[in-house]
Amino acid sequence: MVITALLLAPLLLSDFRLGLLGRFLAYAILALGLDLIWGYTGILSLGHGVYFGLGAYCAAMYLKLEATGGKLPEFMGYSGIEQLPFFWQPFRFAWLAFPLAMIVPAALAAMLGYFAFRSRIKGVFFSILSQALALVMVTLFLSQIGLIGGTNGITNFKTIFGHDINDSATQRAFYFLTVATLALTYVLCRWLVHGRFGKLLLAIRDAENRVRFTGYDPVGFKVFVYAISAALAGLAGVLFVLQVGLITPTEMDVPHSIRMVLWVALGGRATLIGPILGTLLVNFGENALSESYPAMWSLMMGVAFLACILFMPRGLMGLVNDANRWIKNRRERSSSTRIAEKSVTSHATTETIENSVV
Amino acid sequence: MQQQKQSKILSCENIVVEFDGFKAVDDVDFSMNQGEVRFLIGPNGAGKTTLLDCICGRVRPSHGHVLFKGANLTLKQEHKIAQLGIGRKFQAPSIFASLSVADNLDLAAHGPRGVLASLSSRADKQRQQRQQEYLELIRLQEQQNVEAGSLSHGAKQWLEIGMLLMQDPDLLLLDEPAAGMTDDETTRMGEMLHRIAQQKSVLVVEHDMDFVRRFAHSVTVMHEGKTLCEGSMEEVQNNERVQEVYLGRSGERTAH
Repeated sequence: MVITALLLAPLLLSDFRLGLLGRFLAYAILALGLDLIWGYTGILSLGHGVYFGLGAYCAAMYLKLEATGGKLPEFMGYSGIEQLPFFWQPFRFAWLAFPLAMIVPAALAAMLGYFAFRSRIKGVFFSILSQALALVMVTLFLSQIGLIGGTNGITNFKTIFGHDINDSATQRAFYFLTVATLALTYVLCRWLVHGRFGKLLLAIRDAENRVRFTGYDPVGFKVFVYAISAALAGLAGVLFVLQVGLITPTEMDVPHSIRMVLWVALGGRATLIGPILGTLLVNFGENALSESYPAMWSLMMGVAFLACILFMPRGLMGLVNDANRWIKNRRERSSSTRIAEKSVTSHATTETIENSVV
Repeated sequence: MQQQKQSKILSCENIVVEFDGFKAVDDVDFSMNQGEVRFLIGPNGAGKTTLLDCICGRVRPSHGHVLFKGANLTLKQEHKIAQLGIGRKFQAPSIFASLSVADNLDLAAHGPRGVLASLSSRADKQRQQRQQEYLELIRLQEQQNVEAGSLSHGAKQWLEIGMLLMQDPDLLLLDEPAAGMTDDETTRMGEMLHRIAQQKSVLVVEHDMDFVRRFAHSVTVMHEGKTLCEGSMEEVQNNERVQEVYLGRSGERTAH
């Protein structure tokens, strides 16, 4: 039903609204990945913007080179760079650039994760480490104006595989691509979470030492799930760039990374629908508020977040589950009282019979 | 002599464990035979739990080494030691709170431990059958689909024991298995220890002296990081040094 609604959306929404929805659906892919590492495994990453940004930059570099026809992008010229830097070379080819958009984030995450998890860095310390990664990367990208565009990022794309990238038909195609990717990601996460692997993630979250003394090495599992999570963030970054036509270091920064965590928290950790719901709700909410209250909206969002964290720590899906349980209990209770009443009446009848016999 | 050496499943040689200069375990020699149930007793702070931690790899000895079935465990990581066949039950029950009772047992079940194996692993008939057997043994079959976190303290203890059995280790290290159990359950636990010992070796740390008296055949007493004496319960109870340690302590306690 949700899928049909998403597929029908292009008929109902303006190009602008559809663009927003597509962007938010791309974010939802990232939220699913973040949920795997945080909701299921209990590792809070406050630097997922980095993986999103790396994926986005990979796609942007390809699009830029397609726009310049393989020549030097204009911002390099301004900085006096005369030859395409070596690390831009692979991005002349789509078949390299798009896989790299997932491989680069996954590899970075696997490396960072391996060293951190092997040294048993966890909890707050890992979160701080992941945040430091975001700071380092943003600073690096900001400083390299000539190599990677600095503050301006990479923009001014023209075509993709020969199609005009700004054409509404192309954009619609990107929208459908995003919906399909999100659906596939959902299926993948479902498969991961429902098998033995998913149970082990929860086990690591609940009692990592018990996992260890049961003979599993948690390091391997944590590195693997962190890398998958980063790859999904990279994938989301690609879809973002295709639809927005711009990537800047701001998208990788710490505040943005924290916002991503809030999407998951609001929707409900360790559920798969929750993060998708949370992402859409928060982003559309932000959008609506910023349109109606340009001065106040960020404050209002902050208050809304505080209220959510204080009053529904398990997110929207936590509320839904509670409601389901309540309804179920009520139904059971009413049916059991009915049975009890019945037995009482039958008891009463036997008594009267006995009495009459006496 | 040769025969005896072969039947040793565990031997700790000259173990020293230091925490910031404090010797929690001080030059301990300790060994166990295959199929033995050994009780480790002693006053608080004697180093009993630390010795268990040392065997299962939770702490590293600063001196000496642990041999298990002939392999040196001293530099091995915890999961490797577990894979070699040592199971550990902690003082506070340690289970996977958000998984069902059945899933707790399922994850513990002996089998491949890698990431890829966990991705491809599907329900295994033999494993399920063993799971049902152990569910019955720990009397949690009716609660098998309940979240383990919602079990009572005693039931969590049983679940952890069940997980250990599913793991199928050769040596079980149990830290106060009877804590928080009713009298009935304590008896059941004691009987089970001996049943387990028909195939495996069991090392039990216990404070409850009633429990020890009823179920211990051979006992090792520790005091201030050293082993004080070793023998049958009767021998140990008649040992002067042991009486001194225990009476001395209780004397202290009444003085308070």
